[in-house]
Amino acid sequence: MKKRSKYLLIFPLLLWLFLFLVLPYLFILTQSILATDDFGKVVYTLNFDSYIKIFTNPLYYETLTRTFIYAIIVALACIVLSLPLAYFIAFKVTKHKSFYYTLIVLPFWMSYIVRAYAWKIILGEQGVLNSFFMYSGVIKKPLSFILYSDFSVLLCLIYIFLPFVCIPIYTSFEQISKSLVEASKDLGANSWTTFRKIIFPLILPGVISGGTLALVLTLGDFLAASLLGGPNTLFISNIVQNLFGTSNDKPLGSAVGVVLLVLVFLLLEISSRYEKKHETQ
Amino acid sequence: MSKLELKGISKSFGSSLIVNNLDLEIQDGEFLTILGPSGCGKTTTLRMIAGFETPDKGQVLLNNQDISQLPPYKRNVNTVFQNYALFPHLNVEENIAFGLHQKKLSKSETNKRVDEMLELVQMEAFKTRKPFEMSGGQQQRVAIARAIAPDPEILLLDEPLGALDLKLRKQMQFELKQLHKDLNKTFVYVTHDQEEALTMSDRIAVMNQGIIEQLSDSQTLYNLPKTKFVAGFIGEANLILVQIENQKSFSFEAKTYEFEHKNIDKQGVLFIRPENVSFDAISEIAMKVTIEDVIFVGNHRKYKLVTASGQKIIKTEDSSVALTKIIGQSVTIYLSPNLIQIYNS
Repeated sequence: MKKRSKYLLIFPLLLWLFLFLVLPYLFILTQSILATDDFGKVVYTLNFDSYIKIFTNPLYYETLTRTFIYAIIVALACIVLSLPLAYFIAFKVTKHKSFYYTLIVLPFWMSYIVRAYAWKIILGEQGVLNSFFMYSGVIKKPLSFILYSDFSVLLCLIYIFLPFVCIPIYTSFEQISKSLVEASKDLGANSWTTFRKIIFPLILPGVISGGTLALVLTLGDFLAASLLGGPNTLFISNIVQNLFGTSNDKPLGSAVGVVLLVLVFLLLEISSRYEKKHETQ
Repeated sequence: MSKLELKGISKSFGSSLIVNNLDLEIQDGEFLTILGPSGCGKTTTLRMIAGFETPDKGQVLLNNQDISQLPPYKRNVNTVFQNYALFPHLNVEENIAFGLHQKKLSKSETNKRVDEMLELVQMEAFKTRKPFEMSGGQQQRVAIARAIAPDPEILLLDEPLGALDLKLRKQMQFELKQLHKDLNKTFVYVTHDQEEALTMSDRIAVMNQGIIEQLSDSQTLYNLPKTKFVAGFIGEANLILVQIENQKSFSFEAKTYEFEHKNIDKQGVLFIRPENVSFDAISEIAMKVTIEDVIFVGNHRKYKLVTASGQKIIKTEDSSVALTKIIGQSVTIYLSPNLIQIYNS
């Protein structure tokens, strides 16, 4: 094939990327260094106030930090839950493996919002959980703190992002040849040492990429906090949403978006460097 | 002293019996090969010695101690795997040191032992390579070094040369044999390659359908196979149908020959190697045959013979012997009683 026709084939993709990825980013980037007038209208003068605000006003930098902490908690919880689950399916299940695998992927078939609402039904004051505890006599009054709190938001996020973490970990487990486990035991390592020295290092790239995914997805999430969060549960994306909506400070909203984007890029870069370093083939 | 003994071990997977009440005694410092077709239970037997499988019945005795219920990491035996099974995230040095770390050797002892092992398999230059940066033959050397490093009482080798090309395989056969001599360790080797077994082993156990058909040295195994299966599995063999009246004789094409055997069936199979069929009158057992074809095969020539009743017999002779027979000629062949066997058909 001639060189020119090659470019012709890839052109639709490049156009798509330019229109729907590069252009919006450029737009956000430009808007983040503009100012607003008293009515919130964007004025075309160079202005870095938005960035200064992010790093001086506690509302912004604290929320950013808190969102990061939430994201780390979600990522770690997903990893901790995924490890035994993926290990079980990869090594212990001998029949109907695809059935178990489908069970993990199954939640993807439902919309995020439906699943978030399901947690409302489960955790609410009249919800499934409270009714069960009341019925079984464990509690006298329904627990009110479980819904509209950090707890319910994190629970929902962990539930939603679990498959994103579980699948790469499961895939790395699957790639480990059984004979490596046998070789380790043959050379005198018990099951725990084998897990630490052989299995875990081999699945680490999967753990990192799954964990990064959950981290990044949580950083950008605003639905869980707005549906299930309490008065103090605020994610950085909720603030962005607000800045573009009721607060009507588009430059500041864009600036927060840019900061978030840079952080996410950094995370992805670190993660992919790590994976490259630990290549085994 | 390390003596390994398998006593009446059996193992089934599902409803199929893979190893059937097997007895085997392996001497100290011996190179013993378990040879058999795929599915005969040889690998399962090896895995029961290593501890990857637990026998349903019977005992695995190492120095008179029953180790059959011990996990692999508590047995002083190491395995060289068919697919090498090198740890992909560790380099050569770390792979070899893995077993030494489990033995809690000091750092200097470990380094010394790793260097010794690298020298033994001539892989000093590859110390910091990762497995994926090496060829199959190099990986196999590292796998052998890794298995020997913790100084096991018995080294188990599960078709270790199966994945190598022919030339490299021949060279590694020679090196393994040399290694066995130098280390003075017990080797238990599993293969389906009869030539590999014959060239390397002190003794060979031929397995078929979960049992050992014959356990003997290469030469006995080749010249005097105990069962029809062994006769057919190893080398080329003439298997001639004969009639049996008693245990002192057999008859073939209405002629009775004196030969002591243990067979009791009415019909038997007479075994003789093609190179042991003679045109010279060396024995009382003589048969009339017609030469159907003579084929030149480099260092030897092959006669296709046919008896009056139509049974085919192959005879080979050195091509340095002058060719005096022609196709279609009737000749008499003589079978030495020391080199024939009679089995149930």
